[in-house]
Amino acid sequence: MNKDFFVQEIEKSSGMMYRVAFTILRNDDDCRDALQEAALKAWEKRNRLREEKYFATWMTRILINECYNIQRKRKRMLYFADAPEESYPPHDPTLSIILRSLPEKLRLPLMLQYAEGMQYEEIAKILHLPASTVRGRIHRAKQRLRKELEA
Amino acid sequence: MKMLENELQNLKEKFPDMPKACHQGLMDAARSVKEEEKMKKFTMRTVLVTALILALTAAVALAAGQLGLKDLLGNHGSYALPSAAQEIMENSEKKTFTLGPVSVTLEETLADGYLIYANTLVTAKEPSVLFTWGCDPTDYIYPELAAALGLEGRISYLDAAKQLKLPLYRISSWLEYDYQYQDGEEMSAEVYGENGEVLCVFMAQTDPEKMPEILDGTLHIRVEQWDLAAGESMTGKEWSREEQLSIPVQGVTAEKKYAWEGKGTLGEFTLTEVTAQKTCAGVYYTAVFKADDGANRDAAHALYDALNWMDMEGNAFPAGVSFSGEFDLEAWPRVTLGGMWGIDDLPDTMKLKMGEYEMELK
Repeated sequence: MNKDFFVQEIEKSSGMMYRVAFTILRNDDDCRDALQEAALKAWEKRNRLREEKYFATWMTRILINECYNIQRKRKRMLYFADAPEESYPPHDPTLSIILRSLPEKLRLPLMLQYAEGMQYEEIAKILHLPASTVRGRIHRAKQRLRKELEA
Repeated sequence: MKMLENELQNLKEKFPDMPKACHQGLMDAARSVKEEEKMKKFTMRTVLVTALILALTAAVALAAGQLGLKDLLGNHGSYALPSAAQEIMENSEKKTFTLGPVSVTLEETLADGYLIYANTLVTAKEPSVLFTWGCDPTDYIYPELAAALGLEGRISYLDAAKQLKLPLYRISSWLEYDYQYQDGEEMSAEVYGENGEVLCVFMAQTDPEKMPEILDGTLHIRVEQWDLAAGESMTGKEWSREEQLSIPVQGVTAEKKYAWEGKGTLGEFTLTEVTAQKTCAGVYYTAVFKADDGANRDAAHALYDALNWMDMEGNAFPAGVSFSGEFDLEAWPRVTLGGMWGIDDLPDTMKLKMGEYEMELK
């Protein structure tokens, strides 16, 4: 992989990467840090990408790990009262409900399927879960959302 | 149902636009990379955590007194911790304190320049269910914990606590240190004892060229009681403590460059250099190859997977406790591989084998 290809693919994936990071971190400052770190780590590990056509999937995996790193560091260093304000978009109630009411393990696969159009198998590869678990988590996410929307 | 599906079909549009600062930061990072930059250690976190957890999973539940890194690794032939490191960890400063409903003991610490370990044993004062911050309360519990609780089959931490009418606590234990020393990943794992106590393992990978002689750090411990009905932590039921630690960094104590007879041919690659550094935790090695004309990068990946480093009796060296490796193709056809062996000393002589190819190094 050369640098031109890398930059081009990052640009192509940037929107998706932001949505993934936002789904986990719910805070633009942390998203920015996660995105930058993920890009640098992806370049360091570029020789582990066997086929360039899987760049987006591979990049998403690295980004998710980076988001978890930031979450752990954030939890370590801050007391709950000092947690960064989570910037839900005030104009979209459905997304607000998803981000507020669903635990991350449910909202992330839901988002990957519906916002990014991924199939269960691809989501399973990204999250290192069996496809059946992915299916189950999306189903539970929708059940909980249904209750929230009906309330 | 239809309303929800309609809402979800447009989910992508419901996200805010990527803020300019995020896009700018990401693209600046992407454009800042250098093509000649040497690739650092690869440590794919999920692979590492799995390896760490698998390495530490006891075949049978251990008593609290056996929950140390050396005891756990002793269950597997694949990984080993040299006696020097075992002694350091056994003699490292122990601290015990009470934190709300649990007793916490800093069991063992180790720093060798390449890695840091800080492991704490947590025991509940009253019958309880403990889970760590690396887990979700809806995850299935470890078999050792299930056995300790007298439960059969697969059950989550939350359901176990509900079924047994026991309190549920989340335990967080980690070491904070100057992150300029970090070179690689941090990871945590947990191992349960026969009575439901849990050893929280914290490990970080560091740069031996930057690490000081004494590593000052802060051990953070946090305990939170879980509301079983709400499925989240209870307000006002959390306890935390910070302990200042000073961990001696043992550092590299010996180095060796190896030689061999003949060309050093291993398939499509020719060995050009092997060096090793010894620390108390094991031996870190680096091997450099030159790819033949016609060899490709896939073959280099296969090389890394196929190499066997052995003693002169043909016994493979156990892996070391850094759980990482190095794989650098940046200067192709130069290939640099690295890793760690869990052995006490630099081998005077050793064998390197790949398929039908075999060499002796000394």
